Amino acid sequence: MKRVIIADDSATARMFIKRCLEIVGLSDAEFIEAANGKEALEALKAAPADLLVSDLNMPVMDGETLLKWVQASPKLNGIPVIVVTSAGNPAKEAQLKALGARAVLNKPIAPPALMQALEPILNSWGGSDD
Amino acid sequence: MTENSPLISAKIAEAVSETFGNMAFLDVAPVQDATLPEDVQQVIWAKLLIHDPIQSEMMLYIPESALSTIAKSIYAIPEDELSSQIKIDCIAELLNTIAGRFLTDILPADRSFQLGLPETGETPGSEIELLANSWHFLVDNCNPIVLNATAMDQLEQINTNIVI
Repeated sequence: MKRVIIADDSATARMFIKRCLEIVGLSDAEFIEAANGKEALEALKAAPADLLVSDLNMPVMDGETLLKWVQASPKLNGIPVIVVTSAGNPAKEAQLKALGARAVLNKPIAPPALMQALEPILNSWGGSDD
Repeated sequence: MTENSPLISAKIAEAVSETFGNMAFLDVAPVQDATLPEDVQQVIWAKLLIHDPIQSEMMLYIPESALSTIAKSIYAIPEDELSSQIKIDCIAELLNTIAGRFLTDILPADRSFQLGLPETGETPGSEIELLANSWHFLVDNCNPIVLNATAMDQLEQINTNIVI
């Protein structure tokens, strides 16, 4: 079973992202919800994850800081990160990708856009479901 | 209150329509009538500051009954399972998404922007404060929702490359 961490300060956004992930093929995943980057980082340190989906604008620790922490950790930097944001534009997207984000999606996300972002990650997982 | 610019109004309408369509699977229609029915007693609001590239404020007002319909659709759960916290979280995320979608669309592609974190509250329907620019929408035949914003003229000045 894949372990997916969703970090967003909005419970509605977390629920919506989870539903979209289920629609595009992760219906059997274990979802762990975090209300900010710090909670997400603690969840990542507690147990490895296969995917991190994070909002950008969060209290306590924002998504960009979370991304930097993940990329700086040898134990965590292999985890694919998808950033979902309401404050995205091409310049921001390029900056986040340079920091290590696999994809940057603007809210409101739609399952086709998420599927496109997720496809290379699913392919990299191959047939393994461990 | 100042007159709404056609460009800003069009971009606001697109942002509202896409947000409600994607998140709640509900159709949205702009309406000209700026008054809420007298039987709308309680309205939930969310407020969001835009810090950059302009200093602005956006507010979304949704009558409680309409917000129940919207939240029920977003969460796909029966109305009696909707807590007030869920409804408040819904309106905050809706405004956050509308604002981001609108700014992404109205600003040049190389221009970043910064949003604050949404604040929420409740007010009697008779005490809605209309800011400089105001738009009204019908969502799924509920009582109209109201979106207010300030400093939209400054945004239009920044936007020099967009053609409707």
